[in-house]
Amino acid sequence: MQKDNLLIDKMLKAFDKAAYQSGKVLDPYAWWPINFLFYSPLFDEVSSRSFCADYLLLRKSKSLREIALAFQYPNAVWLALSRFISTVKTAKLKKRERMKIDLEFLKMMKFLMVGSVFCEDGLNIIWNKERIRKEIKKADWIDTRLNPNFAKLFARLHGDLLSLDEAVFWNAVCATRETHGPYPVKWKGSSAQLIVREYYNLREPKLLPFKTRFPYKAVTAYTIYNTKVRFDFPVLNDYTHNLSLVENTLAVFGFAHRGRNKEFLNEERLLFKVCEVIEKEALKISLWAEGLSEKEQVVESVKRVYYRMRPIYKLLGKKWQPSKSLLEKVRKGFPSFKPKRSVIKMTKERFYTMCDPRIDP
Amino acid sequence: MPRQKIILKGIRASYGLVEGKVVVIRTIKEFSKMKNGRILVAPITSPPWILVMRKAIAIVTDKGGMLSHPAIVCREFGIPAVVGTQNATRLLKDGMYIIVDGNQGKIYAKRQSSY
Repeated sequence: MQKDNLLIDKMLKAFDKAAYQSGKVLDPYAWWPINFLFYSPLFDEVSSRSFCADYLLLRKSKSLREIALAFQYPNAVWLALSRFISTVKTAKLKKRERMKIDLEFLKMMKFLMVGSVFCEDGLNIIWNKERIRKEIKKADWIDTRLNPNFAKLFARLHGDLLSLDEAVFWNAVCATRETHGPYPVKWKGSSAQLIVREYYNLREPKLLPFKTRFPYKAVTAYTIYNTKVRFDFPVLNDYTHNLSLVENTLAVFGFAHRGRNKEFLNEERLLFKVCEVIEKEALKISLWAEGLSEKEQVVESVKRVYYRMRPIYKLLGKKWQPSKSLLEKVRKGFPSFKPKRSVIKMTKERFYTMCDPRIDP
Repeated sequence: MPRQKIILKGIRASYGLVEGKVVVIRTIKEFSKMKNGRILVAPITSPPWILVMRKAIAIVTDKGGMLSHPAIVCREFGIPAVVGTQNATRLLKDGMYIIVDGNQGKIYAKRQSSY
């Protein structure tokens, strides 16, 4: 019990860092195109009840390891957990059940990670030393001191990927992206560090109103930096660094999945083309999103809240999409709904009270 | 840091120190104003802004925090960013020469005579 309490305390601290201190809860611009948290009273009660019921149903037939593997990446689990942390109380579960769900999700993250699930040391370590050794060995590295344009082009690629991911997934970006590291590596005999950026689902037709011809399903970029750069990862995969990344890049390697083929990003012209294609797609999708009315943006953001839980629904053999009746409820409730007020009043104490599964609502 | 006048303060969102000319862009319709190597000043940025952000050497915004779009994208691009300055688009004008200090979250005016 003491161990459970300690884990819950750590989880709340991590959630505080990722959601409250970072400004996700209070900043209207923390999420694009809207901060869906402002509108959560419109759908939280229904969604949290259904998430909890479906998760408990799934637990009857699947082990935590099976569910973790369906989520694939720790950040995808964390994003699902973050829904439970903040809404599990509205599902009218008992204290012990609420704690159990939170602890199980933490356990699932542990299955998928090598380092601390709370990134206590500022690192997001997913791969073990053996995996790193293999990845380093098989990569066809481009030395950016010999080809400085590649450092710039990869930085452009990183920014472009992030923007496309945000354009498609809005508040569910971490359900399809994992930036991890830094892993200590050797580069030409000297100590260096590797950051891996995995965008493993750049296309999701069910979230878009139009057919897309975007050719890349996934893009992975490996970048080796010198040790002067200090990275700091909070629990989610957003990170900070203290020095210019372009200037401190030593080597890069990357590939894009086009259908079943891997396209290696080892030519300037190709990399430039990939960046252009990504930018064009990000622009097209974002213009659609920004052109929606506020009400329809809320409806679309609810879909993306459900999207975070799709591995659970897939294992249950159900569709992940929210019900039509819920979306209609959101549409009907929207005109008279006054957001922001409750969020502005959010204090740190209130935030903890809302999220701590040990405190009854 | 140079002894220059601080004209704006905000949140230090991405590391780096650069100086250059300002381009103020308020909406997507003004994207054509952007030129390579300029400092982009905007109310806030969002995914479509990637087209102008990639041309910028630094970004300053009125709104946003550490995890807002301009902050996370600038960290990936590796260019300095100061966000949440409240009134950058009002105080800074096209062609102004400024220094963006992403380490301190400060914007300095650079005198015409010094460049």
